[in-house]
Amino acid sequence: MKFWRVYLLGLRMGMRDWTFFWTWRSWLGGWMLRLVCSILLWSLMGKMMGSTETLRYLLIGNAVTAGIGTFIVASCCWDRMEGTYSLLVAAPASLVPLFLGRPSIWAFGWVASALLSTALVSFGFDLALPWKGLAVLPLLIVIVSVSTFFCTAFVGTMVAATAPQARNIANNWLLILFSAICGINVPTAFWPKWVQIVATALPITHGLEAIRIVLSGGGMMEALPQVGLELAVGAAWLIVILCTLDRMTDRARIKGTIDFA
Amino acid sequence: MRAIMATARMQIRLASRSIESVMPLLVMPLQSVVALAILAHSGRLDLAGYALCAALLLTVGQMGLFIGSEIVAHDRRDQILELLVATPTPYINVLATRTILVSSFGLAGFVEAWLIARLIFGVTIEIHHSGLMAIALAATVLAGGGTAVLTSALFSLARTTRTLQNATNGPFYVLGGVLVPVSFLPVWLQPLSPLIFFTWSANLVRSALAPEPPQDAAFQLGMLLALGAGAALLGVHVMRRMLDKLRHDGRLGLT
Repeated sequence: MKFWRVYLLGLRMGMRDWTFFWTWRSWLGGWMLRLVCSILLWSLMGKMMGSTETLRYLLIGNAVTAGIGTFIVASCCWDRMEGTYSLLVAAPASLVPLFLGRPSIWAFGWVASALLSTALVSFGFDLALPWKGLAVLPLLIVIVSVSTFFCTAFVGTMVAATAPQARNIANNWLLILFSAICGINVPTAFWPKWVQIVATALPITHGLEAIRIVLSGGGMMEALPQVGLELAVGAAWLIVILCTLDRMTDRARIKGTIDFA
Repeated sequence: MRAIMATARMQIRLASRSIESVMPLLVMPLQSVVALAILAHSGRLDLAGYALCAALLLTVGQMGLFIGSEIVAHDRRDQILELLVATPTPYINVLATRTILVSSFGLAGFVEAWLIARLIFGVTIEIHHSGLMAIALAATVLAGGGTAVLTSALFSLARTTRTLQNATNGPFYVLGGVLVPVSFLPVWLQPLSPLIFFTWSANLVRSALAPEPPQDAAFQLGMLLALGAGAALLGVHVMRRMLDKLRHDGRLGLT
């Protein structure tokens, strides 16, 4: 019960962060414009190379993952930057629900971004996506977002602990890593074996594969193994957070390295 | 000249102290990995120069439009705008020096992307017209710095600079055809492209990388410089108006 109370308090803080950055108008007109431009930037490579198959692959990969992974690492660092971290450490609750609560507002935004982007791209490029696939797409995007959230939140807490000034760089590196090796722009099989192994442990890889299956006319049963793997990857990253965050904080307490800013 | 040199030294010192201020140099060239992977997967590494051009322009663009655009906002936040305005050197000289210098840092993106192509994908991208490339790079830096004077002045009036940066950068790159030439954009978008300096810059860089003799290079160079100068002049006007207003309202010390 206490876990959820603290989580919700964190989420409320996250909502304040969100409204500091965006209004509904600037989110729709600014953020979505940026995402659509980013989708176009990559996808038009398919058109340039004269391959409708590549164009479709790039459009789907970039649209259904649009926005996913953004802001999160930076958001995990804000308590450290604002000097509130030491006060939170002094509070009698675990840091885990709070550190999951505040950044999780962005994950809600990811789901909305990806769904809206897919709708826009689908209409704009006349992708004729199957209704059966579209019906389960929101659920799959939620699963990909949750799984990505746990992975990126873990990276965020690590960056907050070690180099909060590099938060935006770390966030961008993560996004480029996802974009390169998780099947968004090229199939994971394109990369050498060791890169494929890394991709298997990352979020998006399996969930996106499941999305590609249902959007190419396959049934949910066919996509189920990939959905299961995506959930397993997300759960594994959550376990890593649960095992490390409070221990890391305790160690920092003992060493006296928790500062006010 | 002394003021310009002192400003440049200050900007270099600022860049060396904050990793955030060189973020695009550490991030944007890596986008070429994605572009080159798409090309390699489709068996079209003959177009690797397009990925190099994109990495270069994205890095110069992000240095100018992202880092450069925050200069005035940061000067206001740090309360040094008042001190700079009070000095006998016009603030606009200080600002333009800093935006052009910051944009020029972006040229490192060219080297980084070239090395990525060579070391990860085993592709050597040749520069067939090195003179044109040098001129194109210099003009791109000037145009990027000039445009950043305008965006820096405009963004400083916003509640959060990052919100505007997020909204404006994407269209600049797509309409400017930094990765895929403008001719592949939807037809209804193409008329907007000549207004974006990246369009001319990308054409020049791609011409310098292609073995064929460049076409219309002088015209494209002229357009690139004219757009950069136009944006800079508009920026000077906006900046003057803003400072006059702050002075008039007696709010300069309280910004």
